Amino acid sequence: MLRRLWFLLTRGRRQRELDDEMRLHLELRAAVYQRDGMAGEEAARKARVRFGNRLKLREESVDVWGLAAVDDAAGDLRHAFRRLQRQPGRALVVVLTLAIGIGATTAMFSLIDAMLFKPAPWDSTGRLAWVVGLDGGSLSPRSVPYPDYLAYRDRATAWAGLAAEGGTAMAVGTRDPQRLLGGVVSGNYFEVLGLRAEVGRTFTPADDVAPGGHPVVVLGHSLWMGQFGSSPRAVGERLTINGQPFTIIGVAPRGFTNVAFATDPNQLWIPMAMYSTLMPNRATLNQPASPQWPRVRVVGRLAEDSSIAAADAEMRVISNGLETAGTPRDKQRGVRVLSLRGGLTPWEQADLGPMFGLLAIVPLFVLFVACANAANVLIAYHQARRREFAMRRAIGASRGRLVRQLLAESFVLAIGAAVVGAAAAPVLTRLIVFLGDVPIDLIALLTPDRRGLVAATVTAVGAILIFGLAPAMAATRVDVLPILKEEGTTATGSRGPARLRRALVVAQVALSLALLVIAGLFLQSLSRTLRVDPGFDPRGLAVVGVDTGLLSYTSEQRADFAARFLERASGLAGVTAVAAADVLPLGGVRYSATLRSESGTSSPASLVQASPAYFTTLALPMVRGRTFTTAEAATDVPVAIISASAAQRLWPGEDPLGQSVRTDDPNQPPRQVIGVVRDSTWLFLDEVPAGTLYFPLPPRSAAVFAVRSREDPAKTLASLRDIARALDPNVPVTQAQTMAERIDRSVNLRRALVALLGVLGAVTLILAAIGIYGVTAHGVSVRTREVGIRMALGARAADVLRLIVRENVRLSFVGIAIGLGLSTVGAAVLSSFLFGMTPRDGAVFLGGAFVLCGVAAVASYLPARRAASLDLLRALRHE
Amino acid sequence: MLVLTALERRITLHGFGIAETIEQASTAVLHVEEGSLYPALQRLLLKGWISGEWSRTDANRRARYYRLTPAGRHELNRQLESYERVTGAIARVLGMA
Repeated sequence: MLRRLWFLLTRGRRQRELDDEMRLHLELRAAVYQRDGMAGEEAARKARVRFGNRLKLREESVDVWGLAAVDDAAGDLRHAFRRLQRQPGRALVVVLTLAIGIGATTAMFSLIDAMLFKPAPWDSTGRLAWVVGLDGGSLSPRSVPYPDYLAYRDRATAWAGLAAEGGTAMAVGTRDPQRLLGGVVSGNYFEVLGLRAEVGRTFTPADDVAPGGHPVVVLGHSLWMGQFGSSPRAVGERLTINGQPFTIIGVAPRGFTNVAFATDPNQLWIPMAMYSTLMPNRATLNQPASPQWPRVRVVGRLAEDSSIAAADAEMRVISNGLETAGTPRDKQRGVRVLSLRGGLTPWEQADLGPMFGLLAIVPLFVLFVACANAANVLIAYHQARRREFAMRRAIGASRGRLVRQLLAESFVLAIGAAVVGAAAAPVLTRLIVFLGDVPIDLIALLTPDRRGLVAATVTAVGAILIFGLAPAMAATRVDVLPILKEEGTTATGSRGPARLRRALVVAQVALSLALLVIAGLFLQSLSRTLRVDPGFDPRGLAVVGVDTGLLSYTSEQRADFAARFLERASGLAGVTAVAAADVLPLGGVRYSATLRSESGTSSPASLVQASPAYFTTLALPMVRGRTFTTAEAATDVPVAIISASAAQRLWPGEDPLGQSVRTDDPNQPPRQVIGVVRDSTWLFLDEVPAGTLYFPLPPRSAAVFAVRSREDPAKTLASLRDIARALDPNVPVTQAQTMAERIDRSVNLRRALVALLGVLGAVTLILAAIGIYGVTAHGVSVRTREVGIRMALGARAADVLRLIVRENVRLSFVGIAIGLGLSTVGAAVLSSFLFGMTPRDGAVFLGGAFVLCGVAAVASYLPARRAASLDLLRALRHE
Repeated sequence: MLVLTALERRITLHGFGIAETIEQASTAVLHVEEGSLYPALQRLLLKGWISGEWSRTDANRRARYYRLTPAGRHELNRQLESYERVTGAIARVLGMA
């Protein structure tokens, strides 16, 4: 194959060489004849006779290289260009239609590629890998405790370097500090990732040895640009983080925000050893047992002679050794080594994989419907050229030759569409990200790259096969004689293309119906989710997070702040109840644990520290028993309140009151149950409540305040913010939302999906309508004479109308039937994403079918009416 | 196959030489248009069974000399084998063996 290409590329020289050879042959032969005594002229003539037809042989030799195909293809393309130039309008319609399909497909590809597969923009080696902890067999974001990381780092030989990162909110600045996301990373972090400082230096392992020893910070590129105007003199300056002085030592390279580059963009980094200084009130790194301590993420660079598999095997062995070491920590169930690909972390990828699968299919629907439209236009156009094709067949062109030529036209159109589509794709990706309302690093995501280009090209080639090949095959399947004999042409047209067009209409109707129904099912699922009873009453609730943990407060100061805040808040007009907690529902944060009873039963649960008024404030009904007393909260008496479902699992058929419950944290004492409350959802409205265990909140740990008010909670929010400012202007207000807003945010991914499916569904529907309109309009124009004859014989306009619309309605029904089948299958596959829904949700299916019927009717009525209002004489004289 | 055989016997030859060799070897039984040798040579070049190299003839003319490549030698052996199988079979059928 390569050699053939080489021959083709050097064909000019090769032809000259061949000529030389042949000439030499003739001369030598003539010389032989001359030696035998022939005259010069005669010898040359006989030599030529013996040689054969020189021109023909030369052609044959050249054909061996496959030159003919290339020359033909070039000719076909030139020809195609000329043809398309003659009808720029038609070409434009096809190009734009296809561009929608190609653009949508490419945009979705870039998004999925960036999330799951693309190497990080700053990693050129491809030798980086995650070390992910397993929890109950699935990848877990929280299961590599820091001491385990140290063990891996020191013992594993498969790595050139193994780094750890954690992340936390930091209050940056002195007065009215900004709340920024910051990375807390091991000293070798930047070195392992292969990142050089833009200015200054990054951390060295020496920065990460003595706890509190090196108060140094590396700035993110955007923070450096925004606050220091990209000045190199920023290095060496002071930066206050959580009230502590840090020294800026360098700036991270542009474009780097996080290892998982599409997630939480960090604005600055501090060494691990500074964590305790930064967070004096939190658990220290080497005390990993508390469920509140976020575990580290571990990422490493493989050694030159190592591989993912080797590293994985080694890490498993080390991790098994750690389990038997008996250090007090959560049960550790091994680790896995996974190569670092895509902008999401491996556990996010595992969670969202099926969803991305769905998202990958949807644009293909759009593409197919767009291709069908393009095919329709081409079929109509080819049909008008049937005489030309027949003529060319008659004078010896092979069918393959004609098909090749028509494909060349499709090729030109598809390339045009790919260019437009690829140009539009980044805009579409931006739109998807915007609809998704997710914090994604757009720069890393949307840099146009070769992969996107390849995707667009592949889609375009696929499109050619769908929309170009079938019409070309149909158009060239011609009986030469009848067509050539036809004097005036037209009549009803040959049956092949007509059948193909009908099939395309059916397919378009079916696909757009399926898409509409699926979008509808997701919409319904969303509205059902929003109607779910979360267990508490979200109306009139305002939530304010004030993280005094980010300040260098003492425990007493923190408790004092919380008490004063609660007191002032309860004094606001309209406020009926106020409570504090360490975390509140539907905020995306959950501390999970496994509860155990004395008899050995267990239950999963969320852990919450709540003030006594928590249950009245959230209007979460107490089923049995009582809430905490203020005294219990102040001294942390080992009591607990449990939710109904967890109580049922731990003590089936028994009275939970007075029972003793433990968490899997060995540092926690067993707690006596003093009350049972109703279950409430925690992370998502549509989850099955896992059960909750409430501890008394030590006043110093108050981080979030819930306020119930008879007034508009949005107004209450503003007053609450003022109260926090009045108490301490340095305190960072981490969140301020009404509970309704929180609920809204908890479904944003779902809403984005509905919006996306809705937009794509609408586009498909419009394309399908155009398709039906086009087919009908063309059918009408072909049948003008037939209609004229019918009218001359006494048919009324209404009859003609019915005749034409009826056929389309029949086609639409077939399409709708297939579409309903498709959506049933789709709904069954997606049932795990659809909340509270029987897969056959009648109304949505019916509604979708109804919409399509309507669209099909309108799209066929318009051209049909034109046929019905034809002037009789003109129709008969048509052509 | 004839071309390959010719090249096997004479190591390197130019086009005219190949034609002459074949004619001599077949004692003029196989008589084809000599020019049809050239498309055949192009095919063999393309398949990589022979390679060509420009040099001078005895009369100091530029000519392309062809030689068998290892792949070509392999192919020739394969073809000879299958040819022998076929002729052997025919001979047995005709009762000549």
